[in-house]
Amino acid sequence: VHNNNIPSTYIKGKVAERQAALYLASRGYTLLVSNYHTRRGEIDLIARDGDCLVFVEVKSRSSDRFGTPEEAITPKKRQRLRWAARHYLMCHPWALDVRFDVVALFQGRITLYQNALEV
Amino acid sequence: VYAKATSGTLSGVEGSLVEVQCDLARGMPAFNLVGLPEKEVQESRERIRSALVNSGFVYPQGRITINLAPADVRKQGVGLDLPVAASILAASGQIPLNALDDVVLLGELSLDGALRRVKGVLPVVLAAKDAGVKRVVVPEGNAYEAAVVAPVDVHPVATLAQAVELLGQRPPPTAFVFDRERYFEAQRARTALDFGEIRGQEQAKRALEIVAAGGHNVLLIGPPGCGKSMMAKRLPTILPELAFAEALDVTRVYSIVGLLPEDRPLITQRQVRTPHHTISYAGMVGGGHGIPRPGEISLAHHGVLFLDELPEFDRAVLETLRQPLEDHHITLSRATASVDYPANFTLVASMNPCPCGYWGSHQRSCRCTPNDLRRYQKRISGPLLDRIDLFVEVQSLTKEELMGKAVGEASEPIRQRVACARVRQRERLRGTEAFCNAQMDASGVERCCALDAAGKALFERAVDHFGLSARAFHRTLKVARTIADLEGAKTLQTQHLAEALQYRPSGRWFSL
Repeated sequence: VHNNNIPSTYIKGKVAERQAALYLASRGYTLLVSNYHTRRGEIDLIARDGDCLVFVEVKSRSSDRFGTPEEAITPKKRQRLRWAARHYLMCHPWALDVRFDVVALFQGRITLYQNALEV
Repeated sequence: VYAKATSGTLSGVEGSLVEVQCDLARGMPAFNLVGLPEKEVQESRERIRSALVNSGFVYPQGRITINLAPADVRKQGVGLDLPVAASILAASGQIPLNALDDVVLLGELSLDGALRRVKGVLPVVLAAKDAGVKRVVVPEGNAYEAAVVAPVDVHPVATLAQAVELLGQRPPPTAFVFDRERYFEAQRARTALDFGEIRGQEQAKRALEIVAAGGHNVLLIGPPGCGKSMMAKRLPTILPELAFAEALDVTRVYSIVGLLPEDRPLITQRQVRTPHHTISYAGMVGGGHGIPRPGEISLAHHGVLFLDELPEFDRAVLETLRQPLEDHHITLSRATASVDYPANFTLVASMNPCPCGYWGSHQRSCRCTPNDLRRYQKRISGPLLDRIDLFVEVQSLTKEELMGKAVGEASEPIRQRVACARVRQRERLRGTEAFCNAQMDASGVERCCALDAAGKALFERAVDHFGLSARAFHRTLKVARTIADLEGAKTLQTQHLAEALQYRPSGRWFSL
């Protein structure tokens, strides 16, 4: 069903997230949550890689006119990631090792940056 | 998991050792650096992260906590990059924990893992030696500078990967070899300038000989182009050669400001600093943002500070010289830090007698009004003039002197006379803190400068005539003592005093 009220960027984002999730599954990650929302921040994907809890930020770009996807994680975005991650850890206090990964989608190529962020 | 490495930081010209402690814990990824790091040390996390990854190591997961102990001392200097990186590698099991025992690490990391040359290596390595550390690892560019400190084993490395390889080797590889004594002797002898190049000006040259022998301060007054600067620049060639310990003191200062050339690890000759008259007070005595840096007076330590065109200098800048001229060191106290720098220099100043430059000249007439003259000479304060021991009027050369064949006496014989005079002073001053006559305190003057009856009579008249202050009184006696030392005389005689009085400013100067 076509809905003109949903912006195209949102759909692009959803498609990218879906692609990223499939890619991570192929890399042996176990997907736990997608679109984890809190009042002060959100996380695209939460997964397990072995014993490690991984918070994944998905970034996609169709051109590098505004920089490559991995450059798009701003201090503000970091802040929101941190809040969401803390929130999740409070609700699920079993995690010992924690990591932030970034999945960058750029012109059909997928790149995974493991342990890419300190928040 | 916990690991530690040793490095160093600076406080003034003194190095001190820093223990770099690294703790790896599970949890949210973070990098925390504590222990009063300055800005450049704070920023090391980005360099370290990239350097580790680009050198083929793994940047560990989890929470990294770095503490720089002692935690109440400010840590400055990018040299802390290497030890922090090494402690992370040790804590994450990429190098053995005991590889970092008993070794001091210094070096700035590039993003590609190459090690860059850092400032202030010499003071830190000296501190390491005092603490009994046997080995230091430094960037290749600092190898000579570190090797000046014997007997510490110096290991120069070009990259982080090389440093790691070296730290893992048991027994450690052979150290960098550098014959510092031979280097010192060879470099010390080199000199480009010579006193022989100065024609005429016998009175001024005699005055500079006295300056060199006694460590006095001098003001040269003369018209433009008469050779004031030329003479001042050649003063170090008649000063006694630097002793090794003195050379180390000077090199410390040059090391921390990064003025030490890579291939010349030791300052072997007395330095002449010739700051321009637009210099700020921070440039002169030291200061600046954050931890104060040494100024020109410290760079002239054990050498000559030459202030050309003295009245053009900012008055406030000249006034700041007063205290270091007496104390031979300067303490810079700021909110961020309080540091002490050495500043034992010989002051040589030069000036024209008046704004047009030709007052009192035999060759041209002066165009200045008496008021111009007064204003010009008033720019130099009494307290500063009071600290100058010799006032020398320099005249332009006559045609005969200029075109003639006669060359002056070379530096070497003068230097030998100066050295003899210094030996006499040192023997006499043994047991006190002074090295030369200029540094004698009041009791020293009392003891060493006893006058006979004729001398006393002359001096009494001179005090009335010149209106000598208590300080000027002592300074004149010290100059007389130096003249006697140059002559080899045991006691102070009338002719020594008479010559010393010649170097007081005559009545037409400074209305003194």
